[in-house]
Amino acid sequence: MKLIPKTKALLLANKAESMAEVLVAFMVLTIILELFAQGMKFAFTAENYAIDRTRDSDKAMKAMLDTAISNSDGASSTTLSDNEPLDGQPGMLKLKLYTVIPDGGGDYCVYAVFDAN
Amino acid sequence: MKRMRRDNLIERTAAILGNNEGASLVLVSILAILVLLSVVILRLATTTFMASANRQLSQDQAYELAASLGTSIDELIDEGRFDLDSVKEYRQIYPEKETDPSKVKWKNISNIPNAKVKACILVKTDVKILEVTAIVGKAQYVYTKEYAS
Repeated sequence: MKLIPKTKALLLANKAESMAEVLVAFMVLTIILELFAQGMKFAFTAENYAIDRTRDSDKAMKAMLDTAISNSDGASSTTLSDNEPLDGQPGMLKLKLYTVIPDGGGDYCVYAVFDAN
Repeated sequence: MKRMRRDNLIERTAAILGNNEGASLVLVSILAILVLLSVVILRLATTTFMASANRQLSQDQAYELAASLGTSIDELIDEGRFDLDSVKEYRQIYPEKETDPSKVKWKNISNIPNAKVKACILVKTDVKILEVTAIVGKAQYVYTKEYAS
């Protein structure tokens, strides 16, 4: 017997549908649909998280660059070291740290930036 | 019903399908496997998506570290405060002076977890290459600039 006619015949026949079987099938379906719903929820949460995170990173980078170039107050800056050596010669470079706090809160974005002394 | 061995799963499944017994359960099981598979794929895809979003900050941090150190050294070379002509062979210039390529030294940035940077000069036949490498977590950025010998 071929597969499609066999499946069709199987579905049309009412012999196999005992109450217990239907109940168990219904329970299994409910469980997997709940799992699928949880998976979809996780996917939407992840999408929103990724969008927020990317937007925060872009904003933080812009705030840091604005602060570094035009001393705006988008980021707070501290000098980590102004005596960094280059090729064994001390005091050639300085290392500054810029900290940006995202608008909606969340993790700080910290950037380390070198500059010639 | 034909008597058969209890441990033979394939035979039992075939018999169930052949006798129309438990057909809906078998169909639901197949459906369950398909849905579970799609949930696993969905989970993997979203995890990758989140990891990629998390990596952006590290990539930006690595880029800033390498590019700022590279442009600062370039500025010092232009101003003549760092004599590039004195470099005749491979030399690491930051964070320490080192001429042995096998002894690579890194500057760890204490305020950024897993962040480190180094700069070296590679000497080729007709060019010298300033190479600055910054690593932050899994992100890496390499800044290079060529100078004619």
